[in-house]
Parts: sequence; C-alpha cells; structure tokens
Amino acid sequence: MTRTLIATLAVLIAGVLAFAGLTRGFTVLTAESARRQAVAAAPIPIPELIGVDQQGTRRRLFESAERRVVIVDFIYTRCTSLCSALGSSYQRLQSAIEAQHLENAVRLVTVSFDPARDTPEVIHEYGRSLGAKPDIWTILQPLDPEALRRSLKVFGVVATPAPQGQFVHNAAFHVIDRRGRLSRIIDISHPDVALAAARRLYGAS
Amino acid sequence: MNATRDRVVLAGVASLAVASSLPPLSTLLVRFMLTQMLVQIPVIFLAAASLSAQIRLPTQTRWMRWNAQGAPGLLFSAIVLAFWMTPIALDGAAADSLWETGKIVSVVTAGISAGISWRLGSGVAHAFYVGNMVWMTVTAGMLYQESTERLCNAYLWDDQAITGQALVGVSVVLAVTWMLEVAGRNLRPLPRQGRRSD
Repeated sequence: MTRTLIATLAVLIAGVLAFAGLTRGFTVLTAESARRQAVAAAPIPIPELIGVDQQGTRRRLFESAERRVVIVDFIYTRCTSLCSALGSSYQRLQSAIEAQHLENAVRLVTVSFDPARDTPEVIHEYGRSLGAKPDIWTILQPLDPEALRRSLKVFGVVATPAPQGQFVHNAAFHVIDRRGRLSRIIDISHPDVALAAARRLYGAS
Repeated sequence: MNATRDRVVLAGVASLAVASSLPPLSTLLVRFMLTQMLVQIPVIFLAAASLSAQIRLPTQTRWMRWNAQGAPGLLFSAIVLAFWMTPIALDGAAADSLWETGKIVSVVTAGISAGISWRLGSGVAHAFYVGNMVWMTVTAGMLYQESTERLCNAYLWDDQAITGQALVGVSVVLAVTWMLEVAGRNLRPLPRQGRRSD
C-alpha cells in the first residue's frame, strides 16, 4: 500500500509539473497567450520582408535606417470582420501619431497575407479608402511568398483559408523595436496600449 | 467463435490506431480539432487499452505492489488525456511534428497503463476514473463551446464550437453507458435466490 501511495504521489507530481510546463506556470492556456508572454520576456529578431506599398514604392517592413518603432498587423483586404476593426484602429492610431507629433518615432505597417489578390492597385484603393498617409502608414504587398511565410511564422500569425475566398486568422498589434525585434504583441482591443508600448520602446533605445 | 470475432475486432482497432498515428491519415485527422480530439486520440487510446487488457498478468509480482487497485496507472492515464485536451497542447500537436510524436507516444502509454490498471481496480477505482474522465471532458467541451474567441490558432471557430458540443455529448454517453453497465452487473438477480423467493 505504501508503494502504491508513493507511485500515485509521483504520478501526481509529474502531472502537475507537466501542466506547469505546458501552461508556463499555470499562466496561459492557449498558444497565442504563451507567445505573447514569450515575446515580452525575450524580443525576437524579425526576418526581412520586402514589398510594394500603396503608392507602388518598394518598402521594407522594418526600415533599419530610419529606426522608427513599427506597429504591424496582418490582414487581407477583402476581410469583412476582424480586419475592418483593425482598419479603424489604425485610423485612430494614425490620428494619435499626428496629434502627438510622433511621425518620426512610430510607423504603422499593414501587411497583406494574401498578396496574390491584394495587388498594388487593390492596396492603393484600400489605403485611399482608409485615408492612410504613406509617410505614417504603409500598406504592404509582400513580394516573396516564402519570405511572407517566414514572417507569419515568426509573428505567430496563422491564416487558414475558409470558404468563399475568406481567411480565418488571428490578429494583434505587433510592436517592433528600433533594433528590428518583435518586442510586444498586444490585443486588438487595445490600440492605446500598443501606442504607449511603441512610445516606451522608442524612448528606451 | 467469439474469441475469433474478438481477435478480428482487436486487430481492426489496432490497425486503425496505427494508421491514425502515421501520415497521411494523421495529417488529415490533425487538420481538424474535431477529428484530432474525437477520432485520433480516442482510437489510439482505446486500441492501446484493449490490446494491453489482453496481456495475461502474473497474479503476484513485485511491481504490482506499486500499482495496487491500479491507482497510479489510472491516474497517469487520466492526466495524459487531460493534457491533450488543452488548447495549447492541441495547437502544439497541429503545428509541430515533435509535439505530434510526443502526443502519440504518451497516448499509447496512457492506453496501456489504463488497460493494465483497470483490471486491478475495484468498483471504487473505476468510479473515480470514469467520473474524472467525464468531468474533465465536460469541462473541456464547455470551454470550447462557449468561448467566443478562437482558442487554437490552428483551428477555425466553428470547428472549436462543434468539437465542444461533441465532447459534452461523448462524455454524457460515456457516463450513461458506464452507469448502465454497473447497474446491469449489480442488479442481475442470482438464479438460486430467484427460485427461493418463489
């Protein structure tokens, strides 16, 4: 009986440890929240992503020369749900950047993960309809699908094709620091927190 | 005749489990939350459990004293199954082949452990095990059903909601089946007693 008790206790302890490891010490239950926590603890260098912006100019997701902090999100323009919410958040962020004179500190980038359909003409129209100012807010059609795939993986964005040409995807504000590292992932319901994080990151380095 | 039929059924379940563990079928099953949770994992677990239930155990060995009533064995099996009900573990298995391999190995081990330990346990141990499984599955099912956001990056929201309903359904079926089985076993009158009361 004692041996069984010892064995049961050992199994229980191993189980608790396994769950603690899985949930980062009982703090996360989803891969998404685990990722946010990991990034905040240790920023991740991002791979280079080159694309064409809404004006047809070649741009990078992170322009290392200008060293502005970047807030980036990933969308597809035909999206009717999550991305339209993100679009209006970005409009508000753009106004806030102008109002607080942060044009040289914070840049907004919207990357399309459906570059086959989001051609330069489409993103031009998309940017125009949202009033995106190219100096502050870049809408990017990535040129190399392989580079896009790598970026999505690093940013932890999953876009699953769904019926009628739609995608089901996760979304967040991804904040890249001045050294080109993914430093914070912030929920889409808190654009103000994303901007505050960007300001802090700009001041920090 | 019955033994032959049992052997055929066992072989069928075992081959289904092997197929579910390996590509291309495993890839297909893991693509949907519903099939990962309610086809792949249960088939592998049940195959391992029913095959190991066939193993003839020596009645008194040293190591069995470590597993009286099958308590640690059943607990281990319940913990492994609970582990693979969490969104973060399911996401891991869907996204990473190392996680997927770990899942299959651990579920097979959990099945073997349950198959061996079930026989050692009394009704109390069984009730504890089944009750725990039902409670765990209902909890996971309700979480998936009621969450308004997607909990796994790899799975669509619809898939998650349907999986949640199916998990609750399966656990209700499991609970009712087990209770009927217990009732059937305990309420069956002994033939002699029946004659006496005449």
